[in-house]
Amino acid sequence: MDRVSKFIDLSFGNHICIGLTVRLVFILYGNIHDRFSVVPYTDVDYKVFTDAARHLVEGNSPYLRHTYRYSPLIAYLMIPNIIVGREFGKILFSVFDIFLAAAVKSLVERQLGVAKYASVTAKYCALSWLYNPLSIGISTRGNADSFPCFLIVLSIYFLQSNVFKNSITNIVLSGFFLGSAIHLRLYPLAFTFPMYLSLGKYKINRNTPIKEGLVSLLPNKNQMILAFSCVTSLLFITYAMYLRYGYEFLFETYIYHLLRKDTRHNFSILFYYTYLTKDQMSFDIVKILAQVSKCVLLFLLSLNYGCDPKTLPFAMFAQAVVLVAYNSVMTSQYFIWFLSLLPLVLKDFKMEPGKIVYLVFLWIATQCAWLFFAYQLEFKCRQVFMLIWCQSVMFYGSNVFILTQLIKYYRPGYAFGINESGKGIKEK
Amino acid sequence: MKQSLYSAPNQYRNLTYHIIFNEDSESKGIYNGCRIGLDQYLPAGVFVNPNELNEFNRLERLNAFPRGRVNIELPTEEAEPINVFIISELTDDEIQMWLPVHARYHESVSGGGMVQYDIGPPKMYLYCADRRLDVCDRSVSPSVTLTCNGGVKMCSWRDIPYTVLTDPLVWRVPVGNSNHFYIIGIGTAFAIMVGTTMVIRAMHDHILKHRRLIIR
Repeated sequence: MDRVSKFIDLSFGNHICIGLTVRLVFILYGNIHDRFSVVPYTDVDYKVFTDAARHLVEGNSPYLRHTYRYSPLIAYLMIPNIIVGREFGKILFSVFDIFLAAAVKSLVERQLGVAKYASVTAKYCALSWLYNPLSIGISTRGNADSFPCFLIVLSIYFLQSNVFKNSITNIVLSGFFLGSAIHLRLYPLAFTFPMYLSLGKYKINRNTPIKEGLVSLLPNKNQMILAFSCVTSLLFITYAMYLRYGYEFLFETYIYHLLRKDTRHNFSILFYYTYLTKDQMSFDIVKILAQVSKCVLLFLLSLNYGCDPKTLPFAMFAQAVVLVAYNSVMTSQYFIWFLSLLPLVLKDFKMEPGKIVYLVFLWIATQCAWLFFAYQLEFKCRQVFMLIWCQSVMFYGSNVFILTQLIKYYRPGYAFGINESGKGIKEK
Repeated sequence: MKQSLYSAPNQYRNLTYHIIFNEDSESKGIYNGCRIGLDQYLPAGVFVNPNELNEFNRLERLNAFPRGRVNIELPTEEAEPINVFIISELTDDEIQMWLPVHARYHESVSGGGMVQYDIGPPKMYLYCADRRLDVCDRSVSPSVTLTCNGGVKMCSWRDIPYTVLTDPLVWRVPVGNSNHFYIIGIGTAFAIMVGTTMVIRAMHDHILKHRRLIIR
């Protein structure tokens, strides 16, 4: 324990170096592993990005690569894979990881203000991402999802930190990064509402006159700047790509994902239902129920936690959990959507260590149970569809249960309980 | 030839081929240095993953190419059958060859159970660079133009008749039970409603409690 303590007490700069070194070692390992093993360490999509980048270098469209269904920006980022070296992209994603950890530290420090424990708490939060095996695995395997996640954290960083003295500059940059993240992946669209709300000053209670209440709901200057910046950057980047690559870009990057009919087994609670209906029902009450439920939860989370800048990261984290749990297709790579936001809120869960261990165990155990039956289906060709569905319900249940527990034990300002003043939450 | 569908532990299925050239003692090794090609027809419900084949090709553990484009995401009803060409060098009178294959999803049927995919034996071809097979009777072993080694260069292969010692392969794959539609639909909807209610309740309780906390 002494050694662990001494290790954690190293300076943040040292941790950054260690974190980067660990990632570089894994990238090197992946390189060697892929040379000799049929089951590659590298994400299969990394080869897709690299092939698309090769088409770009040859002056062609990245969409010549079959199954390239991303923004051309990802392929542009991977051009050095062709010119410099194949592992450039993985190193780039690892650097994004490091920047994300640094942004988390800086953001948490600003959230906690002048409190004595601010720096220590912020360091713990950053280390939870820096040494997270999932984040190391995702970036070193070449999964591009770490890039939009980084942009989202950057967006929150500029929204809530006075990086520039001019607050308008900060908000414009926040909107720019958010718009860029939405261009790459559609899911950050859900974050726009709580981020917008966090800039408002809503003083509404049961005694507020209606007229005054309605006036306070009108967008203020900061909200309009954020919305304008986000929409402008999204439209500008998207239109530029459309001009260059036409309808094919729109279809592969957005329309395909919206119309995607994937009936193969995955973690989603909707998997077996989608398979049985072949996703071809013209009026699908179950799918509509799932979408409506998801939208209601996203809306309520925004209202409950988005209006206060202190709780905005939690609103976004909880929204990401809902987006993943209610998605019609759920694979492991989607977990980074909420895992990348967890470091921002980790400090504010007032939970016993035993409870934390229990929740982590529950999440992993329900996944493993699902994987067991998926293995039976894929490798042993056993008729276990019903059991897979049961496990997907269990996994959905565990995600929902964990989310309810995190809501229950959420205490803004708790800061791992190392608040020396011992003060609780101020009454509103 | 003996053809089988082999499933190693923790691995997908491999089609395996054990080929013996029955030659008398005077003509042993007569095909050494030649190339053998198997043109395997796969029904719509079975496919090869081109990316996987590329990896095996790159590691020089396999030399196999689908003849046509393969969409690995399609279900059986929307997919087309495909031919895969497997090439190997002959250094002996006996050779083992293999091909990794996968099963597509089949639409659910009443009662569920299993669906059957029949995989027949492949066509066998031989190519010898020194054209030693030119002496063979073309009426028995006609010439066919196929890729030399998976690239664009084409060669003249000879279609070789052979005896299959195994029965045609049958691959039985599980399929969903359409009779489960109502129970799955109702169960899924119920779980979603319960889960959503739990989250809303948790938010409600938390907000109420949050407002009641006072500075100590």
